[in-house]
Amino acid sequence: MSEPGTKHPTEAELQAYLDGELQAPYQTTVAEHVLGCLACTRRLEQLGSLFALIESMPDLALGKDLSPEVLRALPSGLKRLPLLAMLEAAAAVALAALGLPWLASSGLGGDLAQALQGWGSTGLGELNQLVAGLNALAGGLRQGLQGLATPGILPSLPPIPASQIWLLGGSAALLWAVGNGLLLRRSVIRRKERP
Amino acid sequence: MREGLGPLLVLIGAPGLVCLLTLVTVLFPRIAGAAQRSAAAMPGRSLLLGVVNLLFFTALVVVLTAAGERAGAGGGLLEVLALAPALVLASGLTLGLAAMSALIGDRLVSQRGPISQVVVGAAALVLAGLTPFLGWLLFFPYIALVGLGGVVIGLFSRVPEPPA
Repeated sequence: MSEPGTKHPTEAELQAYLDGELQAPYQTTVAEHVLGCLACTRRLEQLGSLFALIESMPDLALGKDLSPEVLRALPSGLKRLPLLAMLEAAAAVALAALGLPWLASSGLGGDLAQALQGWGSTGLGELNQLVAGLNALAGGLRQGLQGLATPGILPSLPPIPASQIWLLGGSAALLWAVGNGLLLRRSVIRRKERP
Repeated sequence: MREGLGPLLVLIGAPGLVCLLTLVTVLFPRIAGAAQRSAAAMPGRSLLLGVVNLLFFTALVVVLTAAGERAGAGGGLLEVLALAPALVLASGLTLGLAAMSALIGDRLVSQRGPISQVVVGAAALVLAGLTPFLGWLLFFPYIALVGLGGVVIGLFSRVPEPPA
């Protein structure tokens, strides 16, 4: 029997003692205490029988594999691109790009060009130079592509009316938004992943 | 001159494509892995997504190029902009083919290391793609579209990694 006032090991310390996980000096201290303490000996016996019972139990197979759901709940290392933001950006870029030829063909484009020329000494002059450079680059690219198209590797693009360009662009954007929206629905993807 | 161009392109292009696909898999393992798992788990959905995105980006290139040609002298900017969707499409197809190479290699030589699997898969993919008509018109486009769809799913959805 231990002396009154002696500190008893906690439940966790007794479990660690049973597993042999305590540091060497403390393992000896707990062993000496248990030898002289009837209450701790009983708790140790109870823990020992509990562990023996747990170890004797058969492994039960789960009816469902939880690993995909657990893995899905973990933060992924791959940064996901937000679909809605991509859609909005694509639509904005497409609208801006398609709006440029309209701007060039309308009178507004000429007025804007005159206004830009008026500000030629400022930074807008550099913008004009940039656009001129891009035009030169595009000319070079066009010549290169025409060179590739000559032996029949690339087909040459026939002239397309403006209305058909709009129709083609709009249809493609609609197909892309609806197709990706339907095929990338989160619920559909998750249902398909389940075994 | 032109008769000798095809075999020369194959001789240079085929090993080059195998190297390119291997390097893409090595340099972008996460996205290639995600695309590989998506294509393996959902081949039909990946194929549809590949078709949708191929049509969209091709149409975008045509629209921007045609608009640039119509705009005349001021359309150079549009023609340069048309390169962006073309580059996105080419990148997606390359990543998708790299992912499919890894998938094919994993199924062909599962006992080998990941790099060997990609090399074997890419070589098998390229050689099968050289098969007249079947390879050109069916196998290679099918694999490329499934791979492209796998990349889209890998980018926009969460496909869990398999337990180690």
